[in-house]
Order: sequence, then C-alpha cells, then structure tokens
Amino acid sequence: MTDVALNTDERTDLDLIARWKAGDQRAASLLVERHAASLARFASSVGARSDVEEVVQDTFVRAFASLDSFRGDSSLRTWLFTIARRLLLDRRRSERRRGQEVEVQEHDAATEYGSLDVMVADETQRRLQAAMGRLSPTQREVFTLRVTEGLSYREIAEVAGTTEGAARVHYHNAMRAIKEFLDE
Amino acid sequence: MNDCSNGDIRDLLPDLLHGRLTESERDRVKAHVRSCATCEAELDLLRDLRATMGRSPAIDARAMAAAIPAYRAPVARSWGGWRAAAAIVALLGAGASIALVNRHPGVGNVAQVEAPSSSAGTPSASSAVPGVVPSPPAQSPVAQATSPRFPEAPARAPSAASAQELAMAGGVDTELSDRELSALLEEIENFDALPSVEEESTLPVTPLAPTGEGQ
Repeated sequence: MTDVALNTDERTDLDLIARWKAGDQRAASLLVERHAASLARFASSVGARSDVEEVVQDTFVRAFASLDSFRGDSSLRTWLFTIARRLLLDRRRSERRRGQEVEVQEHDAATEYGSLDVMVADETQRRLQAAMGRLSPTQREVFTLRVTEGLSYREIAEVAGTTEGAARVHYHNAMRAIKEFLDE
Repeated sequence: MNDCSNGDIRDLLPDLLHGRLTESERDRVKAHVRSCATCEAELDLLRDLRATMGRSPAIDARAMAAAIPAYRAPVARSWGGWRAAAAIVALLGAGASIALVNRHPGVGNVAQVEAPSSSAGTPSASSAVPGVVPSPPAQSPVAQATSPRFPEAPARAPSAASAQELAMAGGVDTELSDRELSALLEEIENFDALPSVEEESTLPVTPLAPTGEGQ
C-alpha cells in the first residue's frame, strides 16, 4: 500500500510544520483543523466521555511543544494518535487511583455510545453502534483506527504499541464479532 | 455473514475504502469484490460502520488552535560550556582558599588545633571556636602509645611565629593565645560583615492606580 494521497497529506503536514516554525501561526491553526476531528473520534471511541475536547486540546499542546522531536519517521497523524492514546491512558490511570472505575467493561461497553444516540438516525446505525460497543477496548481501538481513520496495520501497531500481526488479529476478531452480533 | 477465504483481499478492504491503494492494487481488489458477494457485503458493512463511527464529537477546533503558542526554537545546550563554568568555579574556590590561608595562617588549621590535655592555666580555644576538637580525657596506655598527638610532656605555649610555622607545615600541637584568638575572631566577624554583592533595589515604589473595580 503506497498511495499518493497519503504522501500528499504527509507532505502537507510537514509543510505546515515548517511554516509554523517560521512564524506562521496560521499554519498551526490549519494543522489543528486537519486533525482535530480524527483525534476526537479516536478519543471518543476508546472511552473518552466528557473529556474528549480536553484530551484533544492536550494532545495538540503537547505535540506542538515537542514538534522538534518529531522526526517524520511516521506520519504526523500517527504521532498525534500516539500522543492522544498515552494521554488517555494516563488519565484513566489517575482516575483509577482516585477510585473512579472508568475503564469500559465488556458488559457495559454498549452504553459507551449513548452520547451519540442523538446523531444516529436509523435502526441500522444504532445496531452498528451496539455492535461496536460489544468489542473489547483493544478491538475497538484497533478497529476504529483501521476502519474509521484508515491507518495501516503498521501505523496501528505504532500507535497502540503492539505488532502489525497483533493489530491484524485484533481487527479480524473485531470484524467477526461485529458480524456475529448483526447476525443474531 | 461469512468470511471470504481470500485474507489478503479482506485485509485491503479498509484501504480501498480510504483510497489508500495504488492503482494496480485498487483494480485488483475491485475486481475481486465484483466477483465475491461476501467481500462485497463486508465492504458495504465497513462503509456503514465508517459512516456511523466517523461522526466526530462536537469540538471547537478554532479555540484549540488559538491556544497553540508561537514556535520557540530550542536553546542549544553545550556540555562544554558547563564544564568550563565548573572548572572556573573550582579554580576560583581553590584560589580563594589559598589566599585565605596565606593571609590568616591559623584559619585553615583551626579544626586541627588541639590543646594538650594538661594545659592548665591556658584558656582552651576548643570551647569558644566552633569546629575545634575538645581536649580528650586521660588516655589509656594503648592510646597513648599509638597516638603521638597527645604527648605526656606538659603543654608549652608556642609563639605566634612557631604556631604559624606549624600551621603551614600541617598544623600539629599548636595553640592560639588569647590575643591571637581575639584577632582571629575579629577577622571572622569582619568576613561576615562584608556587603552583599547584589545591590538593594533603590527604585521608588509606585503605588498601583485604582482599577475602579467594585465601585
């Protein structure tokens, strides 16, 4: 998979980073606008609730503060997802330390998407949401990155700190679970 | 809903959805999908899932962008600079110590000055000067045999010249007279009275103008 569109996206990101470093603050705005929605979707899909906006904001603040350490080995998008994921994990850990059980459990995962109900118009979409809610947190994370965001297995492995093979297995297990739920 | 046995093609369906395939890959996958009802159904399902899950929670991207500060280039850190600074500080410290010892030969050896145990009638410096080792009690024969620092001979009051000599040579069996001790303490007090390097601010304090809040 070597597609031109991806390379163009990456080039655009690198150009915008260079412009921001040269003093063009508008370039920072463009970078945020390009990636904010994806990060919000990702944060929401892996369990962020009321703090989605906060997580995305923190992700950008941290990313821009350390853009000098971004070598461009991966795409900016992948890098941002990695930062967001770590922030979410840190938040969940600190919340658990404070005694708040927030990690999405298997039995209540379906309610995770309750906040999106207003946006979901028809029964098919509601069933799809319920199917996604049945996935384990890891399956949902991998599936979201693969299907919603279009990341490759290599990029997913980078974000999730796992291997390409493991990412592939999680994706196919998720797909099977969704199909089984829809066939019930 | 069954799975197609062609795992390679199934792996590429999300990439087809996102337009991340090369032209040849896209043609190959599309050709397979046209002939495989299972993969066609899976592609439709992926499309629906993407549409459903692709809705982003409401966020204010503009406000986020406004919070991004302007770029600041990192300051280059040179370990060589730190090493040079540390070396200069060490040299200055060593120089100051040598100068102090040369100006006040007894100062550097105060801690080593030990009054003989039998120096009756001669005021001991040990109780007045911090850091001075107090006179030891009567020693056991073993200690006396092994320690040349406390000879059995009665104390002698060395002259200032000999005390200085001894101090310069490493400082053993020396004792300060009252006058020398007073002079030394005076010198030390003078050190403490040195003015601070940093000058106190002499800028006039301007009172804050009333803001009008709460009026």
